[in-house]
Amino acid sequence: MKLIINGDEQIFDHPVATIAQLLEQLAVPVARTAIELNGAVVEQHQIETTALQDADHIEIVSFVGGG
Amino acid sequence: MQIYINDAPHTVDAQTTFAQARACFLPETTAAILNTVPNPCPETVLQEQDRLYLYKHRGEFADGDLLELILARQPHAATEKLRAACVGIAGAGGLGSVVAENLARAGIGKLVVADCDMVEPSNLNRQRFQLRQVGMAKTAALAENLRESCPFVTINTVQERISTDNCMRVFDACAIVCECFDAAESKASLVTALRRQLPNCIIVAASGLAGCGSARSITIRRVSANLYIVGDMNSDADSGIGLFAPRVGIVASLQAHVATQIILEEPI
Repeated sequence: MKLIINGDEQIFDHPVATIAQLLEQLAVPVARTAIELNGAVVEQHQIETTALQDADHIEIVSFVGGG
Repeated sequence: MQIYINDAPHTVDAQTTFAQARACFLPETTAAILNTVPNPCPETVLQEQDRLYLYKHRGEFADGDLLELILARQPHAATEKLRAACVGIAGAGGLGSVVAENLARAGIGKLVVADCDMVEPSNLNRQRFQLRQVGMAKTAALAENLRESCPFVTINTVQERISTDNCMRVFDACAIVCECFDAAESKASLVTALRRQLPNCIIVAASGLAGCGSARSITIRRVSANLYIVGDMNSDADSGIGLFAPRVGIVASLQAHVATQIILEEPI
């Protein structure tokens, strides 16, 4: 399965069904993350249920603390 | 031909020099700025639409004249665009107090500053407050400081905790919102909520400014058309590396810089 993550193409051996599964594989904490899928904002409560398709463009902003 | 002296239009002869204009309009001038450049040569020949500022170093300034003189080092057309702009600042701490000061000094028309905290002693290592302001609401303290240096900026203070429930109401009038929170979870949820609820608003967020690592690792990432992230994306204050005024200030100044570029329609 091919996904374009933050502009870079990445190939996954096994299908990644949802955004939640992708974040788990990438070890990104959900509560600290802002997601856009093919240009649309994905809210945090939608992360478990939003399905991924081959060739999807996904932007992952993983915030760290400090201000 | 027409030129502007302290922002007022005047008609002068072609080939008028700076020295002649000075002698005519304010002979006791001790300081002058011509088209943003200080100390022009006396022989400089003025051009149509030139903007000349004349003043005395120790003069008495009327409030109306002060605004023009404070912004005399910026191109007038840029100042006009900035004056028409409204920018939101979510969080008035290490990032927000610096973003606000930068934008206010640049002559922004209106700031909406939202925060629910009080000034604490441990803020003063990086946040632009005074010792006497410990215990004050940050929004009120920031507004007080900005009024002293930039009296022409309208500051709308919002003493509330910003959340997904009120961010649209608070920042509705803002074309740009700078995300200046401290906690990573608050940053993520505000950015998501603003992107969803105010899709035409441009967000300039910050992530990765802790510690004292290389300044070269700090970048401006354009995530999508209306979302920019400034920072090194990595250094986390929760890991115990601390927060230092210079590095926090670099990121905050970059946020203010991106906001200014957006307003002036400059390529980022």
